[in-house]
Amino acid sequence: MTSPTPAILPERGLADRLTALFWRHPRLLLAVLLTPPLLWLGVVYLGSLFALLLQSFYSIDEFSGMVNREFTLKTYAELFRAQNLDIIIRTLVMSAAVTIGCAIIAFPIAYYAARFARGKWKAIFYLGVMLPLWSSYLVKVYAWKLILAKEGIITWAADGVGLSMILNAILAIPGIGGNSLSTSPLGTFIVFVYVWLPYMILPMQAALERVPTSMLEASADLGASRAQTFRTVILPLAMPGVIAGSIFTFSLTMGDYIIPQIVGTSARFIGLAVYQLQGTAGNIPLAAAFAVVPIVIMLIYLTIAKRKGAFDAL
Amino acid sequence: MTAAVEFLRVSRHFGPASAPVKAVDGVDLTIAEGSFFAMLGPSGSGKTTCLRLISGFEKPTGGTIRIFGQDVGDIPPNRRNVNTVFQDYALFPHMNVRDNVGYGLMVKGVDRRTRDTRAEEMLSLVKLEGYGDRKPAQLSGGQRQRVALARALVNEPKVLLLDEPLGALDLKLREAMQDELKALQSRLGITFVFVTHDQGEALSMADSLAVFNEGKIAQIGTPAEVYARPRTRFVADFVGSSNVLPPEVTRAFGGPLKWSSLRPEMLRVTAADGVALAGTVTGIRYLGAGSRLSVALNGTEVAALLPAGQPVPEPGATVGLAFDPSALHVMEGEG
Ligand SMILES: Nc1ncnc2c1ncn2[C@@H]1O[C@H](COP(=O)(O)OP(=O)(O)O)[C@@H](O)[C@H]1O
Ligand SMILES: [Mg+2]
Repeated sequence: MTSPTPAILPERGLADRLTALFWRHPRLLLAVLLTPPLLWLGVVYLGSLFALLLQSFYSIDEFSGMVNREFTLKTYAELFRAQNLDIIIRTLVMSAAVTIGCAIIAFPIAYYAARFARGKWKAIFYLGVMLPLWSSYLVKVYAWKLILAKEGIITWAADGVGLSMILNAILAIPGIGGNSLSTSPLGTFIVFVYVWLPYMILPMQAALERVPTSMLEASADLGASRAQTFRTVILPLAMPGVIAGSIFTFSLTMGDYIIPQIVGTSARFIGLAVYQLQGTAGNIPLAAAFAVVPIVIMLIYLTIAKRKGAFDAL
Repeated sequence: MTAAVEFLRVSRHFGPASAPVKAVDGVDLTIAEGSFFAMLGPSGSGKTTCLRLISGFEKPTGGTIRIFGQDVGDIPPNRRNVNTVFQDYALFPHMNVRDNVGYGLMVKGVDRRTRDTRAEEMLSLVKLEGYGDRKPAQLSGGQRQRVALARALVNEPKVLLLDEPLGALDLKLREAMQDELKALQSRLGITFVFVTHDQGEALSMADSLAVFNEGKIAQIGTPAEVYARPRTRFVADFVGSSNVLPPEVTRAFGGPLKWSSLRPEMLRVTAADGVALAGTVTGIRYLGAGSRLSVALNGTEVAALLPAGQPVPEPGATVGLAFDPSALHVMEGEG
């Protein structure tokens, strides 16, 4: 008895020929897929990073203002001058504070979304987290300037409920306070936390989503309190997500030059320093050296995180 | 003897009160201290929910649960000295095997050295000496299962709950683990509550077992009792795939006008002539240790177990069936 369908089906054209080609040479498809992005990454991305690095080893002639294309560490030494070191430390402290602030606010939101939100509520969560990203960054920052201003809604609300004492007490704290929220480091901090928060919530939520409920039950089953479960199971398992989020918040804060200009004291941050050095001052080598600082800090940060076992759960 | 676990009219309903899913419905149950108790039933019959009611991860919507005489209605899981071997093992992926096993002691504040010593003891109990430094991801399924067991035993629980612990293992390993678990239980004297959907496993391991059907207990007793005298049609069929005979057929087989159960291995296949019961062979299933014949007789299908070595009739052949009248078990229960 012969069946009407053949054992081997005929080739249907180009799509089938390509499928056959890739089946015979599995590496070929990989090569085709990877070549364009690797070229982009290798040439455009790493290439420009390398060019930047190169610039930082040049120096500027103090009298002529011309770039001296000779290898020197002089420019890097300049970073350690009091006024430049000040910028670096201020940026570092702000980035760390913003990262911690984001992590603390993001955790309960991410935890709720990963553990409890289902169906419609999950959609609302994603919408709620992403919606602020759809409007212009500048609009948001200027909106915050108005909110935080002396005549703004926060001062008004604090007056209304009789909490202006507390607001004034906070503004009186040296180092973080100021004339008003919009001209204080605290204001800068608040705006940074606001704009980068989604970048912390999303990776955290993804990490928490991967922690099975039975893991938490096993912990409670073995006698752990909620706090112990959080410390010994949830946090370590969510750590890769927290680190991923902190890479965003940390490096975005370190590189930003707009928010500190609009909200806060006019004290400079790395981003602003780079902006001014490459523009008005025309000191490209120092600007490049400044730009290398966040890269080095991130590398140190990730090395420490790895040593501490932050990626053990990956 | 004290009761390790007692259920008094316990229910756990899910969903809206108008159309509840009755996962557990009015269950009465007493598990004796030191016994190996099996909960047997098809998937979705409420076994896991019962286990979670004991460990405290579910709260009953009705009834009372007592553990060693104490009402646990208000006691959270971490304060119940009851430990669980989870179906997916739930080992902590970021800790090595030693820290996984020592976890229960760590959260109690036991110092590192004592913890590690105890963890090693537990690992040797489950025959995993020297595996302490590995991560769970570096272990086979059977080894993970043992780590989960060691981790659950480290706290010296009063009751150990096991949710289909052998379900993910292959047959050979499963049989070896069945023997080991049984031996471990009699050595430690801890009450084991063992959930399974495998009737062979329940019969061979348990001191007593409860057969679950749709959130209710269909029968509770020793394996021999349940096997020999199933109370309901469901139990007869689920435990050992018995022939469940409707009233008329029971009468034709020489019994009263009631539902009855007749084990396939109790039926002898004979020549067709001169016997009261004769039927046509409609199917033969080769089982290795014998064959299972389906015989159409009096309008019902009856299964008979033919031991290996006996001549196997052809399909369509007429055969006679004989049995000891005491093997016909009349069931009093409904359903
Ligand atoms: N959290 C829950 N929400 C809703 N229904 C549930 C929940 N847990 C269990 N059920 C239902 O209860 C019934 C019994 O489930 P389960 O106890 O897991 O059965 P088994 O372990 O015997 O397979 C099933 O119908 C299941 O769908
Ligand atoms: Mg189950």
